[in-house]
Amino acid sequence: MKNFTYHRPATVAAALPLLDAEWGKTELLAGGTDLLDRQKEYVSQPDKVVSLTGIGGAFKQIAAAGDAVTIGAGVKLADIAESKELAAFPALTGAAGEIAGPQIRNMGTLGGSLCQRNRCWYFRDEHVPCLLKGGKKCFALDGENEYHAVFTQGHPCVIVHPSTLAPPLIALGATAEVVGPKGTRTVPLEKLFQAPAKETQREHTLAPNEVLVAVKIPAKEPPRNASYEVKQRETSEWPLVQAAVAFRPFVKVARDVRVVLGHVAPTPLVSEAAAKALEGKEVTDATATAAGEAAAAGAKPLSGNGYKVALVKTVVKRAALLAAGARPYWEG
Amino acid sequence: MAEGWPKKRRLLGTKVKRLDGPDKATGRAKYSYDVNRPGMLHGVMLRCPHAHAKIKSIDTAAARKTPGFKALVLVLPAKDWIVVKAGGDALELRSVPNKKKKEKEEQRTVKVTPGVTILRKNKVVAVADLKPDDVVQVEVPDDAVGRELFFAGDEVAAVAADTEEHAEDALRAIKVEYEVLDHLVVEEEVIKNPKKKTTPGALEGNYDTTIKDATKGDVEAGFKEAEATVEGTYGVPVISHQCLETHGLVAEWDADGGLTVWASTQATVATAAALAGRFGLPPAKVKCVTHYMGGGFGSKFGPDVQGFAAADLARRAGAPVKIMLDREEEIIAAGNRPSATGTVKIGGKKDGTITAFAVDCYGSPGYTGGATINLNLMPYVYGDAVANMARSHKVVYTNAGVARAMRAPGHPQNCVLTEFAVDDLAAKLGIDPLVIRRKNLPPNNPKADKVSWAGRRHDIYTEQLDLAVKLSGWNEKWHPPGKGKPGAVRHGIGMALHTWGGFASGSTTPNECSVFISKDGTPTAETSTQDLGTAQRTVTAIVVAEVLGLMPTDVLVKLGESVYGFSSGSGGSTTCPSQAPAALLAAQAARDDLFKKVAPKVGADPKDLAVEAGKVVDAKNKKEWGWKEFCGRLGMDEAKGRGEWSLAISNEPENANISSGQVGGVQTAEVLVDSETGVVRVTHMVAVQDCGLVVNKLACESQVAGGVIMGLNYALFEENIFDKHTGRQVNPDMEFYKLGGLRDMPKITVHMQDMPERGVIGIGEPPTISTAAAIGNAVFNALGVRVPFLPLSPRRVLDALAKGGK
Amino acid sequence: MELPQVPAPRCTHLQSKAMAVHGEGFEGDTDLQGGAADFACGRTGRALGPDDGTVGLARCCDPDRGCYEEY
Repeated sequence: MKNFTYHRPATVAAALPLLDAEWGKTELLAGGTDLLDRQKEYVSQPDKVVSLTGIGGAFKQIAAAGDAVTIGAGVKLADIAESKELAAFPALTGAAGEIAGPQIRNMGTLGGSLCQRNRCWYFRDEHVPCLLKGGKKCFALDGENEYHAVFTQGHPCVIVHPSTLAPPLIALGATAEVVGPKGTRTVPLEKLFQAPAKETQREHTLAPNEVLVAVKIPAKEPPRNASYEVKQRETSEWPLVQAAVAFRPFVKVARDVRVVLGHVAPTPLVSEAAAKALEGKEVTDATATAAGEAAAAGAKPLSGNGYKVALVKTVVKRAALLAAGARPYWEG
Repeated sequence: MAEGWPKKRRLLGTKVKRLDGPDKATGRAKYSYDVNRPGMLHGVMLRCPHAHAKIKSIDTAAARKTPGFKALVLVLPAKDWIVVKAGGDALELRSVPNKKKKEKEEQRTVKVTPGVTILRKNKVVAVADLKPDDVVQVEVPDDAVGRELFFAGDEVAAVAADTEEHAEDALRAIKVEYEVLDHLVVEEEVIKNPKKKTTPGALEGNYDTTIKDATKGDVEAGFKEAEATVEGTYGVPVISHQCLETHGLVAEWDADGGLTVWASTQATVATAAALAGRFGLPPAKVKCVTHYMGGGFGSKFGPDVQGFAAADLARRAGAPVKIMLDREEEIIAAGNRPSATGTVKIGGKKDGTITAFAVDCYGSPGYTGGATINLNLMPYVYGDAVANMARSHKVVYTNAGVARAMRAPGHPQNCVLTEFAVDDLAAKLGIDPLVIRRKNLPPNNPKADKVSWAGRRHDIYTEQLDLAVKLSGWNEKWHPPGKGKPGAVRHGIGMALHTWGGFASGSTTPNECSVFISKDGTPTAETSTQDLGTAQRTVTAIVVAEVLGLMPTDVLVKLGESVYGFSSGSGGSTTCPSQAPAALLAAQAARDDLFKKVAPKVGADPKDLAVEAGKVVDAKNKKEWGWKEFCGRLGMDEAKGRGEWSLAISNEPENANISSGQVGGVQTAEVLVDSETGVVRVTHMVAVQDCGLVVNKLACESQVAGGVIMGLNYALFEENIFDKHTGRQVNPDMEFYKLGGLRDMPKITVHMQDMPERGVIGIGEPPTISTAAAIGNAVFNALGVRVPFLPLSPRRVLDALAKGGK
Repeated sequence: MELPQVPAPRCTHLQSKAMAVHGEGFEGDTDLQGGAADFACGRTGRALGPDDGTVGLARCCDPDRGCYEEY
């Protein structure tokens, strides 16, 4: 990797002045499970690395207070998975506990999961000049795209967002707390993401000199919630597709339904159609299936990933049934 | 008649823990990767990023000035020249005449600029040091101009620096301009453009249609006779060996001009010999040390380009150099198992008889090479029972790294192309595929020795099928394809058979083992052979301990240094059948030498002495001594014996069945396929395996389990994926080149058959052959729809279901 | 497996897995007989010779080839 200067500030305030107004020369380091790869592959070649591992306090804590649970961006994935404060959110803890393997979960952080760069194999190959590296084309479009997006809305770069925590957090109505030179701002979590198309854009909307410090989940009367993902392997694996479903049970029906898809679009994707198919209805095999169909409608697969459309239907259906407390029929 | 294996077996055939297990688990075991020599430099290879290109220019000036830079080498063939005149900055040379050929003498004049390197007797020299008639090698950067490179990863140069980071920095400072040429990386594209040439060799294009036709009988009549015929196209992709320890070595020259390498290799002797040849050294001046190595699977038989580069850098820098490939290089440039895609037509009757078999297939060995399956062995296993067959194979060259032998070369591909067709035929006939298998087993040869494979192969397979059926619950679990319990998740069971050789090495120089017994009673066994993770070290200890009445932990095994006598490379499952008998003979000879030397001192006749557990016994005179006590009487003497073994020696009548060859094997796979996700989970594998005389039952079972795991990965996860536009592999890593982990593993039931009457036979390769075919057949059984191409990913399963209907 | 034959004269630099495993008996190797070719040149370490030509039994038993070196 290219040599760099290393800084380890003790507070967020001390970190901010170390950051630049532009992307490229400075990178933030949390668990390192993404940045180290990128540096070793020369996909990222920062002159300066600013580690967030020295920041303590709320940054590394899960705090339940009043109507919300706040998770610091520096909290490890393993701790999210096992957290008692998050016990009401199995969509989140279950998803966190399935990420990769123990080594990744012990080092990777919430902030890292949300802000990580994509895993597209063209992006990660330094010899391929794709759109996100200043090049002129997206190589996945007419190349090898079996792991790429099936919902692109015509966007020129067809990556999928790789965060497995984002869909459940969005389904749970989470907000993100971002600190920058102008102070702190709070955004609904789904607004943290964007579909990048060039070198000056990332998969999130943070400015280069901002730091994500926490994610807050409303905790008053937590909804029924579940996340379901399909993976080819059980070990060290990225999901092929994921769905997170949350709803408030009202007598026998589901209300305030939220369905969020993961690993199918450049951002985590809120599926209004799937939510509508369940809103005000009892969650049954039939309605869950219909929600899956609705979620998949409008998918525009690429040459190699048509199979993901069937998977979208399956994950939405199964996540809905799990959220409703049904017995998983697929586990025999 | 040779003494042979002991009839009463104390250790042989039992479960013995690996002697080096604790060392491996604690990190005490030193692999090539772990070797750090004083003053050692780190080397790294420069590789062409294009799938097909020519070098237009190469400028190493900036690289030589980077911090920590120590040496650079261009990947160019070495050639000897004779100095005619040397002066100033000019060097006049003439070629070394090759008297056997009528070759005209070549002359060249080299302008010695800073980028030019002159080597004499493996040392870098200046023009001023040269005298006429000196034999030198010269490296001239301009010689690299015009070099054609044939795959993304093809080697261009190498640098050595004081740290890994500095080596990378120096590497990236080398300026190479490439003329990018057309490439072809998709086999079907080659077939569509048969005259387009992007690979070397005499062919007009990349497509070798020299159809290797090996027809037998009357195929047309055979298909007419059939009660049912099916035709299908099946295929397996190019996969990587994925050795956990990558290729590479540490090279160190000594003051006498000798070379030592700590190499990750399957062949210490051949690797040392190759280096000796390359650097013009007498073989005795090169030593290869491989005490531990992290897997080869057929890909590590010599120093390779990076080994040559490391030794070359070391001689130029005057310091040891380590080059170990990283994971990406390992996958793209260190060999692979070639692909095979075949259209198979098979016809048969309801009683299971296969009446005709036809296969037309193709595969890619990379940018050069040969056939990717063994056509002579089709239909696989059943060939000798099938009267009518037509077989052809075409080779498709692509701009990708060259294939190397990988654990049972050709056989896994053969097995898939055959066994998928067998199950598809069974489905059409409406019968259990077990019926076809039993009906077409190769027959016993009544004229052959009853102990040999040829004389009893039908019986062995029959017994293996019976065992596999029992252990898998086949008769209770099998159902017609797609007709299991209904539901989203479908159960299936499938089977496949295999065969392999595993004879002793055919080398005319036999494998050697030496055993020394010292006065403290410790036997030392010395052999240059290598332990690839095969537990060969423990095998040697078991054999010696068995003969000397001791425990394997009592034996000191010195293994893996090329100077310990001759051994052949560990390939073809030939090591155990070569080394175990050599160790047996060595131990027996050492024992006899011990008796001869000590008997007079204890008043015994050597002929009356015998070894029993922990002691030496004189039955005639009713005397006995403890082992250590007896050995203590050696005094200044050393007892020793040497053993030799080879295929030729094993074939001598007096040595019958100390080692032999040819084995079978049956595997069943039970799966659950989630039809809504396409995910395949293997729940139970049964592997029934014979390998003649089992030396270490635990290690045999481990080898079988390991082979099954490898086959499972082949079935479900592995493939080298290339982008047709960039010509680069998109998944040269362990992220998207997938290997199963602990949670992906099924229950594996291994049943080893112990046949001591057949002597030792190799087991490394057979158990990985039929696994993937068995799993593929299980998936077909579960879904009622054939997923014809490996790996059986969710994508392929869902695509097959969509095509074939749920 | 057949007993080792005396192989035809070949370039001294020709290497293959079959030779590493079976020495001069390499022609009895069943993979080799099946057409598989795991050959490399001892001068270059790869599957192309010093003349950039392909490496193999037929190609490296040709005394007229420029880089051919008999024993």
